[in-house]
Amino acid sequence: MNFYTDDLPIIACSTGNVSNTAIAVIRLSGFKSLLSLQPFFSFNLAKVKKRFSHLTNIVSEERILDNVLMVFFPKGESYTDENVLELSVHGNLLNIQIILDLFILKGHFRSAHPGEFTYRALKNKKLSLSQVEGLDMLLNANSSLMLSQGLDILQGELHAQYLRLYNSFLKLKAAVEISIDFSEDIGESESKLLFNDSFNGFLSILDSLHSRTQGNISSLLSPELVLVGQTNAGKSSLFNLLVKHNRSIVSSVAGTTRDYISEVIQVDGTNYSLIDTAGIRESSDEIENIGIERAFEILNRAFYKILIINPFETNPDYLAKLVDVHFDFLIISHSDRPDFLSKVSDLDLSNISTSLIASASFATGSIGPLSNNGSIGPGSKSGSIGPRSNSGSIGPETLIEIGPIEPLVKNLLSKKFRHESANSPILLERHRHCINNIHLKAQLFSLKINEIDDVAILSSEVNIFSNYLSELVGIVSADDVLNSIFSNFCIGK
Amino acid sequence: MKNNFDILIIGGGHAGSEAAWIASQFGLSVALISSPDSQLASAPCNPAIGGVGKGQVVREIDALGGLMGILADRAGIQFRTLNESKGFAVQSTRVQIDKDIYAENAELFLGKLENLTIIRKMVETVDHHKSGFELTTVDNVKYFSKKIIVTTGTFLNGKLHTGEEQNSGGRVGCAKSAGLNSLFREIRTTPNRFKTGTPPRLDKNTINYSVMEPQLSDPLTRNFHSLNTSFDRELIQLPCYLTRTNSDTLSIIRSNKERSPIFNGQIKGVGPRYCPSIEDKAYRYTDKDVHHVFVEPEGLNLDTIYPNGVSTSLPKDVQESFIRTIKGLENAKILIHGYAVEYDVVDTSQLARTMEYVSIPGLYFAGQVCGTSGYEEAAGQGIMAGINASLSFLNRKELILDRNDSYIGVMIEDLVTNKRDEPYRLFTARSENRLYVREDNTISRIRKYRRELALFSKLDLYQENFLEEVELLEKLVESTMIYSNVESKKYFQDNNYGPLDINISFKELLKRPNNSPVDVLERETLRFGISFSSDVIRTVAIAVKYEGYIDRAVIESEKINKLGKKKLNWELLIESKNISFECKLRIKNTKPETFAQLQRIEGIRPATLAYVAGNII
Repeated sequence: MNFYTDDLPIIACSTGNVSNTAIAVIRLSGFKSLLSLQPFFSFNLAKVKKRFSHLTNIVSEERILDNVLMVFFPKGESYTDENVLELSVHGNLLNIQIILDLFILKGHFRSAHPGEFTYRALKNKKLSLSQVEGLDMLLNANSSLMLSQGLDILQGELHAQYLRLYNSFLKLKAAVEISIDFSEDIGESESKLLFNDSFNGFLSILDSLHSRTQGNISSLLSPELVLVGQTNAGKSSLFNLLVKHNRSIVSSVAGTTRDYISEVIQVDGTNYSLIDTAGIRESSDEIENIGIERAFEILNRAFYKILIINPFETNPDYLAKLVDVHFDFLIISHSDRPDFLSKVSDLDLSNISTSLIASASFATGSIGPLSNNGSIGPGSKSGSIGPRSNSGSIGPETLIEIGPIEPLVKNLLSKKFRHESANSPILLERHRHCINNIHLKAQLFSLKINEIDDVAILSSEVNIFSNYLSELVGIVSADDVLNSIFSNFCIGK
Repeated sequence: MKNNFDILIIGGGHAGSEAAWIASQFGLSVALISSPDSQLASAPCNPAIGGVGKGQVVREIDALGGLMGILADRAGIQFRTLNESKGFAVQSTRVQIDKDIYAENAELFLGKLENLTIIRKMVETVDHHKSGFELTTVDNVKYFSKKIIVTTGTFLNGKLHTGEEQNSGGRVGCAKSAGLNSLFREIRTTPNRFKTGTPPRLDKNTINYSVMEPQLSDPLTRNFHSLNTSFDRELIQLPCYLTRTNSDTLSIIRSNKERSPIFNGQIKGVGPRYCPSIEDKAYRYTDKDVHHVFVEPEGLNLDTIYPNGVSTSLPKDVQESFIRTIKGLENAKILIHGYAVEYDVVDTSQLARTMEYVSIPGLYFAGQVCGTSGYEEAAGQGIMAGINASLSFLNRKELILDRNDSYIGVMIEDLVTNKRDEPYRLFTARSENRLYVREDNTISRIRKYRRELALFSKLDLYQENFLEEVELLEKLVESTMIYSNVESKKYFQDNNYGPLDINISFKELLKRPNNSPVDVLERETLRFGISFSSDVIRTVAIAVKYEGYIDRAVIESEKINKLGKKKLNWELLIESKNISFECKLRIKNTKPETFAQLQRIEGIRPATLAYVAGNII
């Protein structure tokens, strides 16, 4: 964090400055006094009332640059705990840059580093380290789950649960110490009882926290919906259908377009990257092969996977490649074409694993069970093509309802997301790491308890996992976590 | 009569006696001024020396050249190893002593020192000038000294309570020392006085021992003094007995709550949480009626019995009725009633680690006047004050014991870096390095400090030889290989040493669990006909056992230590909105300068630690 050493006044645009907008907020922090900024404003700054909006012109050498609203937060009553001025300026990018330049060139302001406002809030003790972690999550949230957990952390609610764990650990530690230093006072059997009780109490709190760290969190943090299928299967149709109705205001992260195309869609308060992998196909081309590798990488980490198969144009070799992937949803397309059912019955799906199966027509935009009248379906072909399911003998569910495709997919998606986040998983990597470490140590410890007859060693073992606990509740040197936190921040926060 | 001394010690308890003893070894002219009412190094409370953590202190004192171990061995009527089944690192020696014989020996040992003058008078005033201190006794005689060590225990404005009765004094039958008031006007004391208590003494002929569990002396517990043989005893050994309180006992105490000076406001001093009176136990733990009572003889020829666990300041009639509800004590006669004493305590944050009062050079404090409880804690401070006053007088470099290799170091650092709000008792949990700071390796830990004193006595010769032997045996253990052959395999099997599939070093054998390393090493040295003393074998074997664990603990705690060394500004902390009022009070009282010191404050909340840690940038 060596670039954060000075305490020069800093300035940055705190609203996203990637396109022209109506309003942009420029934040200035750390200047000595408001009056020192008088040359830049037409309003008499001596008359500024703290925490009130004032309309003023920004002036440079008697030339009016912009007409803005300003709010002054004095030292001690501001986000950073320094003098802060917030200017709501017209959000033209050029305008913003001119105003920033004015203060940097003539006002001795320095352009803020990413996260520097928050860093100053931390340094000046307006925020705790754990609150910064929460803020980081809140500001970078991709989902309502992250938003609410970010707020929980910011308000210290998650921390309160960690403190509960820490307190139960202190009881355990005390029980060990009592058996060493005070066993004469309370007696041997009672000190054993005390130890067992406190250890069990500790384990039960730990277990409930630990269960919240299980599962693939990265797929929840930036969930991806991946469409897989051969050309002409209907991937693009589904892709366009989903994008058309759900385009997010967040723009897509740049990817290697050669491998896949992606868009961000918003479903039920969560942003998903919708990805159309084109990479999985037979090829001897080396570049293509890299593409295939990458496609599988995406596939493995994806939150929701849809496989689309066109029964009229399916290459068995293609399906064979997908043997190790479990899909959430298998759509067999072109159900409106004659011979559909007989084509389906020719398909060998024995290598495919999926949770749900349906037939669909992208021409009509509707989706439904694999067989329209129940005469032919996976049931009748039991064994021969029945797609595998992870759960072994039980095959995939077959969609019963008939309806439009897009709302159904959305519904399935948010149902899975709600299910996966039902136990309010702990999303912060540092916390997850600490909890898992404590859990591991506690497991090892409970195995050893009956072996160790030396209480001094037992107590030394307890102390060792106390270090991880301290880390979890934040009794850890701040610089150990600062770097990882601030690497996520962007300028102006 | 001589009135000028190099070092003058006020108070002849455990701290004062220890200070006088060691200061005399430096060849200085030393005077010890003590109350005419009581013996030197008397034991006004429990008749025992040592205990968990405290046994380590006694051995540390002994290795520094102190007196306590010598006296305890001479007066010991029961030797026990506490925590015997719980591992070497937490084992501690405790010796029940004959109080009279203990004090007689203190008089004997101190009395024969030619350069020590013992003065039995009460002190009237103490004044300090540029050149030193001037002390006036009640008979208006003046004494002068460059260095002065104050070890007045509970005698500073001491006040005794037994029920409604109140008397001034430091203990039963002794006047308080008011005489130091002139000096004490300049000394900072803790805002709250401290309180301690003692149980009633019972007539040993009125107790039914047959219904109690006897606890016998352990012939395998080692004597304290390293120049003594390990297991020979000076005196006949006596048993102690264990009995328990019951619901009748506790209901009598609970129904007399308003007559208890601790709870009706008569006593304002703060008592030790770790050594609670029976009233504390009764009122605080209302669901618990059964508490241990150890019935301990106070001496071979003394009629008094010390019932350990029922310290009380309740009125005499209440004491008599509750004592008689206890099994075996139905007919017990009380010879001396229990009482509590309140006394002034020096603010030890004003002391340097030498025990010198920083703003008045040449003035040292040690013992219970510094807010500690226990004879061993007092003696540990006494010897360090005596050493440093002597070194300072001789213009030599001070001696500071590190908290990482001694309990005395732990105690003194705790005392001087923190303000205490209750009596300080040493226990092993206070050390971060408990696996290393053991009784068995005391000489290895303390030799370097003793060497710095450059006193060249018989003790030094013994210690040097001991460590040479330890080093030799360590080398043998490390370099000797045991080869995996038919004969050795069979030997391993016969002795339950485990498999011997590959060649192993002797050290690896000692590290194997399931066997006591001490037993194995003893057996093997005997088998190979190598002769080492059992103390040397013990030191080496236990060190091997803990080696790996100590390394691991050091590595794991490094991160925390790194944080612990960070400086903090306590003045800013107490203005923070994010710290609880209670924690702020403690911070304000103790003024921590580093994170480690903050962590060591008792009662500090983890939320506070987390907040502070997160904000140290």
